[in-house]
Amino acid sequence: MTCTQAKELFSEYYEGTLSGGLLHELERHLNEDPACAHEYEAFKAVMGSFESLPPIEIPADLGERIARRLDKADWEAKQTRKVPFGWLRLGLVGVTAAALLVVGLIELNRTGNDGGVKAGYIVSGGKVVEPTSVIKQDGTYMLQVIADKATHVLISLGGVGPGMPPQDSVQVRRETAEAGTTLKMQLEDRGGPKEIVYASADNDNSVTAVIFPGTKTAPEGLLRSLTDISTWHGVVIEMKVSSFDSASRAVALSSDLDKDLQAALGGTPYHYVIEGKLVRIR
Amino acid sequence: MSNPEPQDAVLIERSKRGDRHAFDDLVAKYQTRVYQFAYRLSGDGETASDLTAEAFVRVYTNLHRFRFDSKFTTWVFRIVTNCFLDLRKREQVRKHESLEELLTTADSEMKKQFGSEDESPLEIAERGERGKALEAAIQRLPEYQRAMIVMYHIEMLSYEEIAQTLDMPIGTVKSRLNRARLALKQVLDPMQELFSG
Repeated sequence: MTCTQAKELFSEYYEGTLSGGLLHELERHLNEDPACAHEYEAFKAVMGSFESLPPIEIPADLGERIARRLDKADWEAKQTRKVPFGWLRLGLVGVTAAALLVVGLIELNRTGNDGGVKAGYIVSGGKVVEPTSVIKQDGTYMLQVIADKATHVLISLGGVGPGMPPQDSVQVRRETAEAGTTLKMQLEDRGGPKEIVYASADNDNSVTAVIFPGTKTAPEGLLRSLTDISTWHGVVIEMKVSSFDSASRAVALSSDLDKDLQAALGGTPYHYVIEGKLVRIR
Repeated sequence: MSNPEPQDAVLIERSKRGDRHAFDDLVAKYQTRVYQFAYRLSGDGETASDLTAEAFVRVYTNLHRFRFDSKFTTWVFRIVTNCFLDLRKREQVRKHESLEELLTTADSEMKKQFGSEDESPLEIAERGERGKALEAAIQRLPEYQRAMIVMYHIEMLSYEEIAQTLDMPIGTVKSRLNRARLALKQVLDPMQELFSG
């Protein structure tokens, strides 16, 4: 037996699974060749040293990091599932527009700039209760999620890339609301975020974009216009969005919020409600 | 067909039906082991975190393909290994500690150890250096050999599980593992003394 042949058998010999003639040949070779025997001893020593490997420290944010990637995968899957064909998308826009037209027939009379509902839609004499919406509580804007079933809520910031929320947005929070509960998540620190906040709850069919005054980055089109309006009028805008399809070039340069919003939303199926400093756009 | 842990089987089935909570529970259960495996493959914490996250995304999006033909962990390890090999293909670079520097340090420490019968702090330090040297040597192996060593010696997978993970016959696993072990020994040959004590 040569040394090369002997080395081919080291593992089996080490594990004690070698038997018969090969075992006898190998042992004879190792007895006759001290160098090869030394090689085997070194092999055995290395095989017995794995317990000395340093322990591995698990990063504290590992779970969060995995969750963020899974959230992103969820989003991408959701985007892929959404209306795969252009013509179908067009059809849905038509249906949505028709529905809004009907709602428009029961639109509230404009009651002047008294802080109440100025324009928008009503159902049975009250405002539409959305599963995900922005509320103001103790002077702070909160995301409120009414969870009719166990609901995951994701909060992302900024981004201008494609997708909703944009692919390059940064997911900053993720919470779970138990079925039958209402979850409230604070949306702002002092002065509000400087990027659009995207909120999504998986019991809702749309993404809520929340625009605080002073928001710096926004995708082109309608959201860009609304960031300008938000800053110009000092209002917080909550908007239900699913794509960037609705674009408007209106820029808020006047002091008339109503006029600016109409200009920005003109040609889109969106309606708005003004509640004090909060503007809801659906 | 492999019999998964009952709890795993329930979580997997619920996850397949879109229950994210169930999948989160699977992640919580296996993330440490997956990270450790990824770390041993990549030798780098940041890369290991990326590999772990990427692997769980692949598990998540491909879970409908898991038919319980193997253990869940075996399937997950296969995905982690593929993520790692894909990463290496993309980067074509290795991030690892300089083995030479490590060996120099280990050698100078090692010489202080001989002649001592009881385990002293120095001996403990020496054992620590040996572990680091071994860790660095594993990183010097070609990717497939490294995966073999990590699966068998660190993750304690059986030949059958490694065969399933790497999709190769058991005989091939055995012969390649032997080659990987010889290669590892060869990398460590310059400091045999460190491993002979």
